[in-house]
Amino acid sequence: MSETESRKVRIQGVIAVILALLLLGGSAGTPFKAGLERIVLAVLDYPERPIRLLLDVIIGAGGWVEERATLLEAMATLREENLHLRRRVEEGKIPPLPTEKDEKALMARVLFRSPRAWWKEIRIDRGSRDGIRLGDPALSDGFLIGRVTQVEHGFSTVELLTSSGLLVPVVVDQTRDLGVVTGDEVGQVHLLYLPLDRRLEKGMSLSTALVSERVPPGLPVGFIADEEPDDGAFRPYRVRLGADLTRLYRLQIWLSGEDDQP
Amino acid sequence: MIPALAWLIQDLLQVLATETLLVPDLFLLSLVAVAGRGQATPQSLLWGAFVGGLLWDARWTGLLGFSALLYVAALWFLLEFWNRIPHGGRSAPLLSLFALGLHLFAGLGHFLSWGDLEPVQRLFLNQQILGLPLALFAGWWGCRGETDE
Repeated sequence: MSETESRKVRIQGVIAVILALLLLGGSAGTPFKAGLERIVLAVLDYPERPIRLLLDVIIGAGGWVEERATLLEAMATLREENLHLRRRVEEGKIPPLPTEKDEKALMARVLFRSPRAWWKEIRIDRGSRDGIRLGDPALSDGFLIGRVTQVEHGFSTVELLTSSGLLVPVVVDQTRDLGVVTGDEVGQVHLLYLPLDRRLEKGMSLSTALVSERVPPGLPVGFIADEEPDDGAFRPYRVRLGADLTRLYRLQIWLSGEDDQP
Repeated sequence: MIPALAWLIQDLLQVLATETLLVPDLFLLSLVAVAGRGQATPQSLLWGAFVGGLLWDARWTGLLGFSALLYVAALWFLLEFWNRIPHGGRSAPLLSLFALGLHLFAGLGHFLSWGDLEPVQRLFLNQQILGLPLALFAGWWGCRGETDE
């Protein structure tokens, strides 16, 4: 490489580095970033789709060869849990879940989770073409993890419970106290608006109160972890979510099939 | 063309392995190999690294410009040193060493950007171990022309 060419490389290298630094420092939250991400995801959806299907087949095949004893054990646990839940429904401790004919849970895969919005939102590979609508609840391991806040043809965005923008009314299953669960954007979730004279025990479970037409009451959310300092008006509690958001690769979207808005 | 194909393969493999491992940086290794062969101009390689990094960020990291910065810096470093070495001194082991070092550099950059490092330590180590034979291959392939001449 001649000296002239070498100089050209250096100049262009400096330009590329500056450009990358500018993008790194200034592109967060801009329409340019969101647009580029959307385009890249949309284009890559075509070559990636067969791979995702293959992955589903592999995971499904893995499930088939799972040991019978493990499945039987899981079935026994579920049966016991089902009986327990049925008894609590009959006792009126939790409201029964609506069982509309067109209700179903749709499996979705996490396509993208931005480090800058790690505890705020995720993008999933299902969209309006799969029947997802704004406000549909998202679940993982049977626990609520968030709600759909943006729907496109082939993708959707789910706002997580750890986001400070999502406020979910919940009920404490053991005491029937009502409160609101919200996140702090750094991975913690808090239960707010409990009166000062109410004392909750560690481990008490929380499930959704009536949030909207799309989020049925009774969806498990998590458990009381510990009490936090009160601010004079109400006593907040830290909540341990039932689902593990640090290992969130797949989730379920609860489709209600109704046409109303959230 | 080869780096673009390597980028796509890396992306598809990462989709397949999302829950288990970090795929070795095939894109960067392909850039190293192509730079070694002298099949493309240094400028086009630099901008190719930039664009590839930007697309990777848009797809996977969410830190737009971060991988672009790592790839451009890595390739710039390679071009500066590789082109100073006389043709007789350019060998497959040397290019493999560059490939290994740059793969480690880019991997370390991504690793450190995760914040909480403990859960991803194993992923990082696996990525580097899997990248080892690929870096050796990139060095061999990138220098094939030099040896043939």
